[in-house]
Amino acid sequence: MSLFDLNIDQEAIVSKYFSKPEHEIALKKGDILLNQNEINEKLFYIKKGKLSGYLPDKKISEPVFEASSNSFVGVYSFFSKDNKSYSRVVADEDSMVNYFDGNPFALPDKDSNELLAFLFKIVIMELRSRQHFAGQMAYEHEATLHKLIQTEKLATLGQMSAGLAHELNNTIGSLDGNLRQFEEDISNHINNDEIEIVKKYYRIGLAEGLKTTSAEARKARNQWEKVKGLDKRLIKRLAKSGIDPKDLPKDVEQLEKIASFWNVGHLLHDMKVATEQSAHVISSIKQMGISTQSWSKDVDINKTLKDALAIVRSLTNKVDLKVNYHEGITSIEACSGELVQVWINLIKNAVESLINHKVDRPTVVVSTRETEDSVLMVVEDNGIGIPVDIIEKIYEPSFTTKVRGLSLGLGLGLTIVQRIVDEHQGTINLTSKPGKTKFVIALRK
Amino acid sequence: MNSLFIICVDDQPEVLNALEQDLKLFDEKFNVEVCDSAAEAIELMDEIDQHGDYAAVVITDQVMPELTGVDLLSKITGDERFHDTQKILLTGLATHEDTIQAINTGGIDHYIEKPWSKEEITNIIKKCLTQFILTKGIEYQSYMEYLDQDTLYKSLKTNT
Repeated sequence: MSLFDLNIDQEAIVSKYFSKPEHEIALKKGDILLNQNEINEKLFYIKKGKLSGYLPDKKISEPVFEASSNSFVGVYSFFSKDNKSYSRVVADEDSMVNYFDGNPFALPDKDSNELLAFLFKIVIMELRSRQHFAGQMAYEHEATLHKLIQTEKLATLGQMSAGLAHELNNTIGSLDGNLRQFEEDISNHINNDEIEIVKKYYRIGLAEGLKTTSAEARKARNQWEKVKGLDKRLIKRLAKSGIDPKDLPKDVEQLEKIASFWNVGHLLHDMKVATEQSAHVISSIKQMGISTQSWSKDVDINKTLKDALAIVRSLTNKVDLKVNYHEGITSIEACSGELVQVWINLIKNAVESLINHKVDRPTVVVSTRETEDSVLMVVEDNGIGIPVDIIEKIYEPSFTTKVRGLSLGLGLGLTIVQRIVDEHQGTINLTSKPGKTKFVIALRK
Repeated sequence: MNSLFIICVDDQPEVLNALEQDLKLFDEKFNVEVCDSAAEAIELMDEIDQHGDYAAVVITDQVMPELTGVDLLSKITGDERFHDTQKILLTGLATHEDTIQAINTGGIDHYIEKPWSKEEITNIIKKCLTQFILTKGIEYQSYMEYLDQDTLYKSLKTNT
């Protein structure tokens, strides 16, 4: 027979042992029922209200247990050898308690059995509920700590990136400037001194860069090998340029020159692309750092979406884009420039992942919505979804599933989104499964 | 005479181009080939083997779509035909795991970090070529200026 099968009527027990009018204690909110280490020989039944136990000696501000009406306190000290209360018991709200202070073993047999069986059950239940409470507290503690570490990480990262961006900005600026001058000088020389066909292929190289793939270039060598008098090195260069042998003179000296100037052109082109890319990476890093943009009290998120869509038009042209504005949406206090950034990053992410994974009929849906206490920014795509095992990591910098690493940015997009949303004390809710990935950002009104 | 190939693999054309430029000096006596994917490199190595030529050195980037550098090197390691091929991993972003894998399953002979210097890469390629030529028992005299004297000397010493 289990203990809980015993038909013990709590109401009967309470009315029999915990209802003497002279044992009734009324507590005001904040009143102390028991002090830590106080000798206690009473068992308290909470008729109404709520009490909590604290450990002042451990300097812990959180309670170690909570007890509400129809439960008991003083259980430990009542049964322990030294009768010392291990915690300080305080009324969380106005409460009413009644106590039993006899010796349950000294009662007549029938009463003693009845009361002890009941108390045994109480003790077990107390144990279970305090265990549960302790677990809950540990869990909350863990969660808070986790969040704190995250915030700290981002803050450190922000400072570091601001410094880094500043340093790199100067060097890239100088590279960019010098490169421009360099290109101008070279272009002038070539335009003045060279024959038309050399100029032409210099310009092609400069405008288009390297267009042939390594495999195509290897194939094209066959054609050039038929031209007499070309050495291996020249053949390689000409094949790389993607120029058709039929379009060129057969004069080796001229071919040498054409290949050489095409090469100069394409190298300049590549260097310009590389500086541009570096500048782009630096500007993302900067945005991750401390924000410099101003806040305003009446930001219309519909307008931030419109601005963002204007900026990413060349990207969204590649997919089917659906836009839903919540008409007359409530204005909020926010930094509009940063909200534009949030839209851009989320939309870019969605489009790039759709394109990279060659999703059939790629669709992005962006919407603004409003709930009772928040306005919502929603970006949805029909891509392959984010695998469960990386969903935790997507806000970490440099974590990217994009196909071509560096060439598409640094994987800072979502880190920036998180930083901005945190600053607005908003929340990000992400749900993802194959065919539907949805970011919902809620900002308080 | 059979030709010896140096194969460079990187998915970014700019990097490939720079690498090709830096290895130009080897193009006189060897063949420097560039591939923008691991799959292309595997195909090229098949061709080289069919012609009875040698894939002497493979130098590959780690972070590439589809097959990574380590994937490529592991495939080469597992292929009897390329048992002696020298393997170099050239990378700017390798995790601890990547590195362990590169050594254990990729069987790499050298590891170069981006950005590389022309001198460093030239020396390492020379070492690798020397190792390959000696292992294969290819007549080394005609390659003398491209060989690493140290490696050569040590090998000759132990063999005599």
